[in-house]
Amino acid sequence: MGAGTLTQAPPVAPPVRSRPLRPGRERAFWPFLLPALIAYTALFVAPSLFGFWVSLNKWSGPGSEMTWRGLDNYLALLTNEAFRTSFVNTFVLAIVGGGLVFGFTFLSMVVLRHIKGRAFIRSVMFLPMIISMIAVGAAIGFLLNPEGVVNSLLTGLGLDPQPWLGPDLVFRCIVGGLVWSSTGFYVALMMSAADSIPAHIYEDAQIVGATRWEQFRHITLPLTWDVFAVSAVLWVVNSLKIFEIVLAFTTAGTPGSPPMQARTVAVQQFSMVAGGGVPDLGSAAAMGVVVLIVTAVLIALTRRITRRDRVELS
Amino acid sequence: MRKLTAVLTVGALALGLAACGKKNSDAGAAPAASLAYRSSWGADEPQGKIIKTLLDDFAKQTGTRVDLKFVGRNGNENLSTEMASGQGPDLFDTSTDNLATYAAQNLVAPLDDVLTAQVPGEGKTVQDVLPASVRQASSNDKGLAFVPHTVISTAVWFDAAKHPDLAATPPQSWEDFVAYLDRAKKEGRTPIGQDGTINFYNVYWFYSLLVRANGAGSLKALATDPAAWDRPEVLAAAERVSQLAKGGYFQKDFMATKFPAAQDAWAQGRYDLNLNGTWLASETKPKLAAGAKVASFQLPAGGKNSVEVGTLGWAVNAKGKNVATAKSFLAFALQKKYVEQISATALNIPSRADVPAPEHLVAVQQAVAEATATHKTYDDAAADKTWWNDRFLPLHDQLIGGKIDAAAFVKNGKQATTDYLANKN
Repeated sequence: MGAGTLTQAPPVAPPVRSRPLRPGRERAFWPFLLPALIAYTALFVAPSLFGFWVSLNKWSGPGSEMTWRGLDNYLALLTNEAFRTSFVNTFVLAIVGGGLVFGFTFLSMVVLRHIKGRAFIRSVMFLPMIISMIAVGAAIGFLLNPEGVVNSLLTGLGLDPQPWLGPDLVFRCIVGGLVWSSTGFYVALMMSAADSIPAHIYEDAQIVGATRWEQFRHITLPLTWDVFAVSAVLWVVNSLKIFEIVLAFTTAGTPGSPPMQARTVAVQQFSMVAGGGVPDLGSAAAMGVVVLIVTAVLIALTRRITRRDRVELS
Repeated sequence: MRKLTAVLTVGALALGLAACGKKNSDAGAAPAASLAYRSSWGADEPQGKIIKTLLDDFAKQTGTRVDLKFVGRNGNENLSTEMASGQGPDLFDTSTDNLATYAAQNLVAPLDDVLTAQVPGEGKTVQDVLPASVRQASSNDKGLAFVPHTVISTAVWFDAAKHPDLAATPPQSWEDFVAYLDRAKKEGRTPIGQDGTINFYNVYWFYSLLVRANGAGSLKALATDPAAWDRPEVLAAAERVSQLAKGGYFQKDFMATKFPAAQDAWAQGRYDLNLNGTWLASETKPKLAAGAKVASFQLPAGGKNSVEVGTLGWAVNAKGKNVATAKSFLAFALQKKYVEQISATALNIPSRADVPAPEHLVAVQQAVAEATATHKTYDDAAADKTWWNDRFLPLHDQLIGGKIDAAAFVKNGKQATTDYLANKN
């Protein structure tokens, strides 16, 4: 009986009315998605997969024969001291450099909040970020050579001149240079977040006698934590690609390879493919894959460590 | 809407295909010969000007349509990829140290047939005007790989105006050389300027000492055979480098000297000697002290007295569209009046032995001409980048920096090469 009544009952939602809504969006789905998908696949996914394929082969580039090596390129990396050193260096730059960069950033946030003309100071701190590394490279020689400005100053002060750019010290100089050139960017990022915190919160804190450090610890940091989390991920990604600052401190644009003590993975990759000699794209690609995996793991870790409940101003 | 998209897509594809087809048929049926040359020199460099004149004359005399672009040192980074995909120019600049790179990718057309081509108006062939060592430096295992216009080499450079004694009687043996260094030191001068942050300049010492005494292949063997490290001459050469490192003959903290501070200071007369390539005088020209007269001698190493011969020249893209025209250009370019400009305006050693080098390079040209044994730049050992950059140069930096002695250098070098070869194969 039900069937009889149902067939006779007028349709509640006639198909004619429901169709134009859903399929209309569906029809738009692929035309909108496809161009981006094609571009992304052609420009990113396909080259990445090809890069992975190259890492399993020995190859000198288009025109040369590709010979299968399986995982041998990866195994060779394990025993290559130059790669191991460059890998460790990259991590030291990421962790020690990161510690210093964010240390200075937090310090600036504590100190600069109360200072007049802080926008100007912030701009000055940002300046190293936009100076070309070629100019930095030229200045490095002028400043840090054995007879450069820094050693002349040290001698003037009665101190011993140091071989700054020699194999023993050059890496520390690079860490210093990196902190100098990057801190301004993170200060600008974090300070713009801190600027949006209402002044009355700090006034309340001052009334109850909170020190500057306590204000930073309990107000500024929690309320800028989201931006810090993003900054930390940006730092991890950028620090694993550090390249030109190493060349600026060492080989100065000549086709040479920097000293082992100063190499990063990106520099190591570059020396495998550029300059004189037969390019070893297989090894370079294997390094790229390793760094990609490590970057992904580090980003996941950073996101996990910096995950907090968002503090909202009511 | 969908129809419109389809029509547009098909239309675009058709246009694209038509464009491809047109391009191809054009190239096939072109009546006038054409020649594309993308140069790694700058248009304002002396070499760039010489090349421009050459191409203009070639176009005028043969009616060839010439497409010349100067892109500078860093403008040709994608050249290999372009050429491999059949897109690159017909002619490009190359040098001895890039032979292996281009050979590995099969990018250079073999040029042995150019050797028998006539140089216009001279009644001589290309082979006649290029000395054997110069041809050898421009060849790979498939024969002549490029046609050289310039010879480069390595020598010990000094200012003959300041050190006439060196010009009159250059050191003939290693002992003479060290005696000179000791004398200079005693007289309060710094004997040698060294840009120690450039590892491929540091290695000039070991490479010159080993290969000049023992001939071609003696350094290359260290990259391919761990047993070669046990040869007594390897230890002997390393001991001489160690002697330099420990003798305090380089400027203070030379391993921390950023290029080009040391060669500039040498040019200003602050150090007596600099071991470097034949380009040193032109590179430091603006810094040269007033009245300086650059001269050179070969590092005295004894033994075979082999002389480094490297070359710069023009290679033909194996997949280029105008290989025959490019080859005829090469014979045209070797005419004496053009090669003379390499000496006169570019201040380099010309590839033709019958064209004299500029005054400060005469000694090197003479050494090359008189050499009974020659070797290529770095004895071709730099072709294996991983060994050269990751194993050998860092180890050599430790030797010249005084961190390890000659015995440790040999021991570690043998071990590093054994490990490297085990993983390579």
